[in-house]
Amino acid sequence: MPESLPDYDYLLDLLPVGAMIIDANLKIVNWNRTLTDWTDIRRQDAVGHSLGKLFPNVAEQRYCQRLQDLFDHGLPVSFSAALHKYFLPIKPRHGLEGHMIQQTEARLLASHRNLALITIQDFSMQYRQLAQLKTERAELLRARDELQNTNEILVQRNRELDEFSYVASHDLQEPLRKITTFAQLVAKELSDQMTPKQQSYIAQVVSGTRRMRNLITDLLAFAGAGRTEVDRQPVDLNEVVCNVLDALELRLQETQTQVILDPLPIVLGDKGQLTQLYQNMIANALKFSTNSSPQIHINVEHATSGIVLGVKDNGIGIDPAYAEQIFKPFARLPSKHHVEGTGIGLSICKKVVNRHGGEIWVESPAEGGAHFRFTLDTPVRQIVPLMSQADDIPNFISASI
Amino acid sequence: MPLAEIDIDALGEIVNIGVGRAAASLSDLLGERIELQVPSMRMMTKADAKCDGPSGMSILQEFKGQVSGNALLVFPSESAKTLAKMLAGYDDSEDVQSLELSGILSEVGNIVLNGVLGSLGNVLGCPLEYRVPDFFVDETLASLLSRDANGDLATSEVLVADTNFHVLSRQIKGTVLIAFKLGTMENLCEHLLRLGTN
Repeated sequence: MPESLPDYDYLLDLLPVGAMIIDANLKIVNWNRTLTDWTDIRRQDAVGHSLGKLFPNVAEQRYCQRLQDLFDHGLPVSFSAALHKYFLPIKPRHGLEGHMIQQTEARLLASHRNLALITIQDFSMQYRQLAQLKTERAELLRARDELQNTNEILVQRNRELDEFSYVASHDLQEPLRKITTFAQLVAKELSDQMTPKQQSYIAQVVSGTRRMRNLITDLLAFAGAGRTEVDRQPVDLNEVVCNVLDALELRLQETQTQVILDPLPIVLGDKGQLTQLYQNMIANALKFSTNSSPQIHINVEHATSGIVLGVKDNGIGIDPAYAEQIFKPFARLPSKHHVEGTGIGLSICKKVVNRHGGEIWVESPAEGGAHFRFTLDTPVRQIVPLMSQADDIPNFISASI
Repeated sequence: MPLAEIDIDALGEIVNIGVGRAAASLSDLLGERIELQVPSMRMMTKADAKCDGPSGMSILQEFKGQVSGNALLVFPSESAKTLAKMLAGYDDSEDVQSLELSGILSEVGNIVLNGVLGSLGNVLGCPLEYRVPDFFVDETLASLLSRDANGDLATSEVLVADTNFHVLSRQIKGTVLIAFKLGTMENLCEHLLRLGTN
């Protein structure tokens, strides 16, 4: 150690980085404890030796030329981990493979311009984490690309399926109409020549084609619900429900169904599709009403996650085992009650709700009946009190304010 | 004290010599031929620098002695990333992360600014003291030029040298700026004058 150089041992040992002092001949003048820990070379074994001899890579031009510039011109030197990986080839800690990744800086001592302090930071963990991040990122990007491709294919297939079912059901209508018409003509023109058995056959043909026409109409509605874009406009659900109740007025009066209507919100949605949604749900409630005092409650609840809309009836209810199945097309549950229909109404409801970003499900309240509930992922403008619409509400509806 | 045109030309020579040395160092480091050119140079005042917005990515090296000030290498962010990717040997689809970016650009800045400041020190004929370079992202030019470990640096004029990096047949644009501390320009002028008369 040069005579005038203070004893830096203690200070250098305090540093949490590898640190050494070298002279202009690259001879080691001091060597701290961290470097001893990393290299197993003790201070007394390092001091006095040439750095280039202990670590031959330091004698390479890219290191020694710049270290020489440091002594010649006082210009500090930085060897980045990204470009050099390491300054001293040292085995990394924590059981890592390869060499310790290092960020190294060398500068002259302000008090001794013929000596330079070299500090070495261990960046191995950071670079290992970086490598892991890069691998994970590459995997995520690959997965995202695959998902995008799959999604594009699925969207395309869905569109084709919708188109197909729309075109198929549309094109089936015409021959079906012909079969019905001609079967009815045959029945009319040959009515006095046919045996009762033959007349019964013709009646079955007409009845079968009528059922098939209903099925096609529903199929068209189901396909239509997926074909058109959701045209989001502010929709007053009170108006939607009143229109639906108006359309079903005759059936409501025949069955003497009491309708309880909560004040509903204005939402951003497709008015036509939301009308279809309420129409199907209310018609469904009417269809499965066996109670002597049928009741339908069109309600809204305020949950923490947003509003939940619903249609609740006191009909035959739904076995929870079928709670999901009923939303699939053509799902008709075993029932002792004969009910008309194709089994596609609730699947249209699900499609409409999903296209509005929401979810639909059914619950079986303890008091009986079924409670269909759904959410819409759409901003709610306001809840509109029904007072202002009281004049428009038919008298079989109870408005809860 | 504003520099005369002849002094600016002399400074241009100094910067060119320094940049030439830096190119050789960079080529040695990367094993690729790297050329650095300074197509244009001008002086600006600190007030001009205040008009500039965030500077992209910058490497700052302070120097002290008979002439003091701050030396800066500034890259637009995209150019900085492109250069770092090329130097790290990444292809275009790979992203260079901030840890690597700061390390690579700090070293490039260290080499380039060392070249220029070493050349300046040689002309002055007396050793300068230098700090290890610092890396900055999106700092304003005015704040970087007046940055000082001992408080705000009062600078007078700023030398601006546009610098082109030619790496693997691509060209990356950067700028070297040297802000001279107020009161030390006179020393520089004297040395430049002496250089001219010799």
